[in-house]
Amino acid sequence: MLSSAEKELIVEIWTKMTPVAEEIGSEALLRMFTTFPKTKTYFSHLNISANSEHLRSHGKKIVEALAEGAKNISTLTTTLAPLSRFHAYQLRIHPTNFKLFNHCILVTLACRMGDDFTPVTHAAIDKFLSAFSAVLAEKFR
Amino acid sequence: MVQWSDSERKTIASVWDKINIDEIGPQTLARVLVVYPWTQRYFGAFGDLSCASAIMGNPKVSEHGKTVLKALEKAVKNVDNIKTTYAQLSQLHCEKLNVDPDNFKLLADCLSIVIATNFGPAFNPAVQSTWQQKLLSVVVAALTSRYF
Repeated sequence: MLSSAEKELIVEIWTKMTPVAEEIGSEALLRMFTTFPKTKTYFSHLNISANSEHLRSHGKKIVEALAEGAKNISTLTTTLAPLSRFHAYQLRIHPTNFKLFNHCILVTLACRMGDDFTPVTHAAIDKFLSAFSAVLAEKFR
Repeated sequence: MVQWSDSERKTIASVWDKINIDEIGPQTLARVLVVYPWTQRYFGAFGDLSCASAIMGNPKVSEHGKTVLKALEKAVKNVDNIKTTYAQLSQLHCEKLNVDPDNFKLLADCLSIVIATNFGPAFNPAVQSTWQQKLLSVVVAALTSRYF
């Protein structure tokens, strides 16, 4: 359950992240591939080495989708319907991987924001990412 | 038996060297209680945990945070023997404290995030992978090992 203060905080943070979507997204992905190597199994068709074109463009896509979701938190199911179908019927990613990626986004934000990544901010973003992932996994079965 | 390369041992030692237990311990435990409020169930005797600022200023949380990090030091100084090192602590958490072991992972995740806020880019993907994925997951497994 996101309070209105948390929703505002989330919009604020993701608005700040949009101009650096490529850096944030590619760093989070790289952290995930390094820390949880099994996640690479979904990317055998791409070059996901550090700084690769694929890593950067894919990272950018993900962060931009998160920012879009942040602007429409109360209508996540509708906003994310196409992405949800895509993840369910085409990508078919094992749902536990969403948690792994979410954790890496949090670590990326923590490294960049330092003390500004307060426990309250951490909680709000974690809740948002969980809600976002739940919608992405909604149509899995 | 967990195998540690020389570079992993160095990474673990160098991260630990820079950690101030008296700061990181309290920050980590406070973060767990704020971000995952159901964990507060284990801390009924700690007084005011009613909101984030109460948790972050709570002296019992702070003391206990230091206790937890001091216990982690045992693993850091003894990476070849983590399971044996934590056998008793595991039994304690199961039999006396009745802590759901799924919560250990939450503490591990929060510790990584606190280290990240303090180290910044120095907590790069390779360091995160050794410290978090390997060391902390071995610690969590060891603490879960005496549950039945």
